[in-house]
Amino acid sequence: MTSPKKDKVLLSGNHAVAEAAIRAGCRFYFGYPITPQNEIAEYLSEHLPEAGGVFIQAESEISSINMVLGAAVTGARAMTSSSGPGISLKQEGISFLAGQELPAVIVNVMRGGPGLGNIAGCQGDYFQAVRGGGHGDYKTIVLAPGSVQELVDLTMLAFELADKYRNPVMILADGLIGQMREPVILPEPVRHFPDKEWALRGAKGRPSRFSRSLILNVRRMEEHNWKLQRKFREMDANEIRFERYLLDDAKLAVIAFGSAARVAKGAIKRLRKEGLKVGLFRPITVWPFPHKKIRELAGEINEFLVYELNAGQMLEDVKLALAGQGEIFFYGRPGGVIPTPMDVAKIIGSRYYQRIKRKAK
Amino acid sequence: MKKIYGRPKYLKARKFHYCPGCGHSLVHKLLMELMDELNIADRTIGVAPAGCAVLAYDYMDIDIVEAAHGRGPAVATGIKRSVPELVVFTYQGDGDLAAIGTAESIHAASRGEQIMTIFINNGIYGMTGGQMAPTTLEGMKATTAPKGRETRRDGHPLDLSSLLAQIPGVVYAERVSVNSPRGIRQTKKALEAGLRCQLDNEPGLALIEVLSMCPINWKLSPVDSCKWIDEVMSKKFPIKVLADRRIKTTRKAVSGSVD
Amino acid sequence: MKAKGKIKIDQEYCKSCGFCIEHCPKQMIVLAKIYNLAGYYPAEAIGDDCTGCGICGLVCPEACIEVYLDQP
Repeated sequence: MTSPKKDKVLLSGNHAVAEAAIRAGCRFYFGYPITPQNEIAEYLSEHLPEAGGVFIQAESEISSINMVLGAAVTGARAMTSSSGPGISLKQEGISFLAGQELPAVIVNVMRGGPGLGNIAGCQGDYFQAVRGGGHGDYKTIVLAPGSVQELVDLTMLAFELADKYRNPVMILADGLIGQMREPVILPEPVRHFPDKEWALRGAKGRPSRFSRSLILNVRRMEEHNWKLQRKFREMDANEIRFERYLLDDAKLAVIAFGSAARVAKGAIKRLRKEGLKVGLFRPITVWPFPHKKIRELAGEINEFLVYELNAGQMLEDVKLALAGQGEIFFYGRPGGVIPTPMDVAKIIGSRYYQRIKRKAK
Repeated sequence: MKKIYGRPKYLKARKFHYCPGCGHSLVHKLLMELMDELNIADRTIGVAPAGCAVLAYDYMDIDIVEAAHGRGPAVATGIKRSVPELVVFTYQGDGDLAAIGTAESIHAASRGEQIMTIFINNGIYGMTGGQMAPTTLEGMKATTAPKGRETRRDGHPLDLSSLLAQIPGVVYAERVSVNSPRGIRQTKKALEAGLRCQLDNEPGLALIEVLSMCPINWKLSPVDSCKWIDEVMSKKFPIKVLADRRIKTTRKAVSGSVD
Repeated sequence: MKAKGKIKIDQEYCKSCGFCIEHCPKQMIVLAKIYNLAGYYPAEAIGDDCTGCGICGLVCPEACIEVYLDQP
């Protein structure tokens, strides 16, 4: 497909992420085919070289994440993308990126799992994304878009945050957003990039340096870990993003992210027309997770409904956030089933009637 | 009196942690001599492996990046594609290159990445305490083959360099050994040829395999380890040029050295 | 006139591998009788037959042998 000339275009999620990456200054993409994100690689194979970048279809997802590491250590903006099984393969590489303090963007277009799973959209990789995924004490910033426009905006943000914190950032999309087409406004290409004096490009005019995550001395390793933890605390303090939708007078708050939140919004619109006071709290960063904001909700709202396309993952973060306050109802659909707004409205409505209307009598 | 030989300036003034008679020490020395002689120290990046040479940056006074086990060629690909003017080499052992990193080794070669891969073949896994490697010879004992390698159970030793040499993207491949004065000089020439492939913009990967002594894990003295390479190991892994597809050069002698 | 050479071994780096001893054409390198801080008996030069051929320096894995040559 040809590169968009106008800045408002109809794009599929996968194409949008690719185009946004180019505009964010990404000049290196290394990836391996896996459905439902192949269009990202296909788009970049054509357009990244046009932008002066390098595209390699690597021999595996393991090899791609390591190529990203190589480009990142020289100071370049580099990206890889995959889905479930491929993201599992990348975990060692992501841990190395975090340990070596290198910026990188990893896109996960989630599909059904576990194992080979299926190619339908799903949210079953939440734990893998936000609990670290790979070995060791580290975190990646995880951004969960709810629309193709948001996917574009969060891709631009991902590269910025990766460079700002010298840490890998994950974009947690799903097959639904990856494949669907929506009109988007594309941003201006980034022209100014941060200076990376830490990069390795040959020891000219300075002492030689090395980039590594092996620290045999345990006290120095502990110190390094606390340094990383301070970074993660800074991310927690500064980078939380979320959306509040019709929560001001709500009696029941739905908590959902990504495509599930999109569908839930549709359900809530229906229910509001029937007079039910339902609202939505949508984390946009699922790491750092907006624990405090959810805890604040418990001041005015007592009923929570967690809706995700998995068997209960973000649910645990919500439970942690609420710390026993309020009542949580969980509705989850793992395996790639995507209920319609009508289906979800029935579930929310029925819970609302059980918990709220009845109590009012 | 004039000093005609000494410690190369890009070898840091630090005692090697390598065992007495280890091939790594010799290869590190030769490589750092070349950094000086070819004047490329400030535009070279080395990719260190998981293995005894994981601490290569403690000795080599050039920019070094650590790679996960076996992934050196992928990391080197990212570096070289990002800054093509750099001289980039991977430094890998048998496990790194021929076991866990087999795919990365083959595909970097297949793509013709303009990097040099230095393959330190000691027929065993040194750092982790002497387990069997893909290159362990039949009958050779290892901690995971206590009665010696048996082809029926463990497969034959793998000569990955010969496989790689068949790939058109490999522009130069040579096997040498550091087990004798002659071998050491030959190794230095081979390493220089490998580096020159990048300096001459040859369209592909240079692979230099070095048969290296591992006295502790072979349970031989350093001098006997050198003999064992001559008498046994090089019969299975012959010392020779495995591929030469260079366009610009044929084998050049390093000026000043006598073979 | 025979070329006159001299070697200097940094004995704290030596690990007694024996390569210099094995390959010296004049057989003028031996193991010292006193061990170094790491517990190895380091190599040391004896006599004054050194021709400055440089083989010991070449084969030393620890890069701890300096070779000097009297050049007329």
